[in-house]
Amino acid sequence: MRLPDIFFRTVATPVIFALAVLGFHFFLRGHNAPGGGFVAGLIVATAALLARMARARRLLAFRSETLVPLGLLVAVITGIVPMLLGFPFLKSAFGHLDWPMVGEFEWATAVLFDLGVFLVVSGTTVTIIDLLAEDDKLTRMGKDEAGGEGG
Amino acid sequence: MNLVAWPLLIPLVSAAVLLLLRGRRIRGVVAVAAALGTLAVDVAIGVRTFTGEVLVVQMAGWPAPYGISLVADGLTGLVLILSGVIGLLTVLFLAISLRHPPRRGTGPLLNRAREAFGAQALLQFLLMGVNMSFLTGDLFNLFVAFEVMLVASYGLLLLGGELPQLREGIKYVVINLVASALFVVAAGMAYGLFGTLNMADIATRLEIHGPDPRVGLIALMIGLVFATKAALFPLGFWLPNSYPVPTAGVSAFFAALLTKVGAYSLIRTFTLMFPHERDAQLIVLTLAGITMLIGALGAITRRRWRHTLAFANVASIGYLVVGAFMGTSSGLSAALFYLIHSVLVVFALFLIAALAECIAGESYRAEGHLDVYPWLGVAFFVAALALAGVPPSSGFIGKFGLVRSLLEAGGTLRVAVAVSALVAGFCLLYAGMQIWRGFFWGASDAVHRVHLPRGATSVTGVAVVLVLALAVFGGPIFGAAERVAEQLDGNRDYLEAVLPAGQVRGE
Repeated sequence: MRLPDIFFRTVATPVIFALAVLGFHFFLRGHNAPGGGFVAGLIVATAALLARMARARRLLAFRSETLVPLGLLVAVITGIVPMLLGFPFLKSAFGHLDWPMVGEFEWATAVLFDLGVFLVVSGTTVTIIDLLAEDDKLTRMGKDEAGGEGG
Repeated sequence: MNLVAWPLLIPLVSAAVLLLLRGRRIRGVVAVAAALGTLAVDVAIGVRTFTGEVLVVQMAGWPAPYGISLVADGLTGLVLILSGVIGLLTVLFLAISLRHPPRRGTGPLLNRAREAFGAQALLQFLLMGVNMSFLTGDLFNLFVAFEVMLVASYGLLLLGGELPQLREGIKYVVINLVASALFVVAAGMAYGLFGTLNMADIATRLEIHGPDPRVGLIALMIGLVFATKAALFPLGFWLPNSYPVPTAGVSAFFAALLTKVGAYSLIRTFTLMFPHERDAQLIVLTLAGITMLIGALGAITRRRWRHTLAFANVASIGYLVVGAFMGTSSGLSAALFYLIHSVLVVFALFLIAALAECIAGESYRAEGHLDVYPWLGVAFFVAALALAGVPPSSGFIGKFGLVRSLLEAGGTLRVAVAVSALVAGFCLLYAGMQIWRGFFWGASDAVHRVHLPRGATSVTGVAVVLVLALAVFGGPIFGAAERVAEQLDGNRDYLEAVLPAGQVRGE
């Protein structure tokens, strides 16, 4: 396959990293300000799209659709664990840490729920982009699974 | 530990796990185990709520008007048990119909490609949405539950990508998007007017608020949204053609439960928030009265199994909503009994139709199957009589209760609705007779013997036995329905359980 324009490829690499850092920033910021797992997931998916366009191959080494159920499980388990400990469903524990250099820092278990959201959103978006990019993949996926299991 | 959140969590977790698993057999086992677990929790909740207890969970511990409440009262317990039973039977039907694909006419049963694309996982998401809309005590959360349910149902409806599926799928998606948009607008207006979306909180504020035309408008909008979901005339034009297109087990689940979720939401919102909005209630009652007739007449005109049954399902929704909206407690209890009857009988009939379609294709004009498949004939006979409401079936108990309370309540509109209920009953009987004459009656020379998967026939058998059991235990079950209807009158236990102490206006 013909590789994309050299300028585009060169600029894309730092932009991808910048987007990843921006996504991480929005992810952490979302606890008390606009942002969070959903927005971060979309930003990181944009980075994945850019990487795909610049390098003409997929960003992730594994199937991106597995991120969706994993994210769901992370989010639900974050809700279930407090129930098993006797608290209401989805109750978040939080506290403050005093780190050297960084200063005081608030932590909350709600960030795990956001992590689940992040995984679901980025997984879904990347999968959609992949499917649109390889339009024969839909049919191939069905054939692989239906034929591969025998019986 | 409080059980109320588990009917959502079990399907959600199992859906996620099902998406990760590779291998048909293990997916089937996990799906059945999840459905069994959900049913167990549903029964546990039902047993506690039938005694009059109201179970509440406040999400993340935020108190009622600020957080989202999950509430289970008697009505919730009743519909949860129904959804658990139907969910388990559907999961079994899908899992079994895969393992032994029939030799001919594979169309209506689930095939491998559909399963590989996650039919079982989508069904668990659908169950989660259904249970969430039963449990939620928050208007916006109810919208979210409907969206979860709808997105899963889009997937299930379109899985397979056959031409009729795409054609009907577009109508289904568009009508549901329109209804959802209207729902959000109505919820926004409710928030603007009351400053809260907690349904119990809205109910108490309405008592203080007094009469207001804007409340009537919101009630009407919400009524129309749920009337669309429940497929009331003229908003239900999408249903009779779209429910027959997915694979058989899925379309049985859709017909038995999804429209009933709309009916449940109508009952819940109007008994809890809008018991005094007479105009909106009369409009819904009139629509439901027409729906019965349209559904029953439509059932006569169709010549294909599941198309006929889909129209019959529309008619039974009409009966159900008529009972709930006639404005008397006896009508409501008859409607609740009819809800149980309608779910079970429609489910059984759709499974019978699935087997019949495996034998002879979509049309029921293929005579002489009684000699070759006597048990299928018996099963259809029982279920069709129950659908039409011939004594001593469960349908008779429900319809008798409905018509009696309509006539007791009096008034031109109610008497007209009672007459249309009787006419619709005769039409449904005629539709059943047509299928009987077309499919079962006649000479059996031309009939081919088709191997039916034994699992599929036994699940169908269980569904028919449930229909019979409802008639046999009609007395106690009707008694339970009456107690649930009493709880819904005024909803004082519900309000006191959800809201903080002192906020409900005491007597």
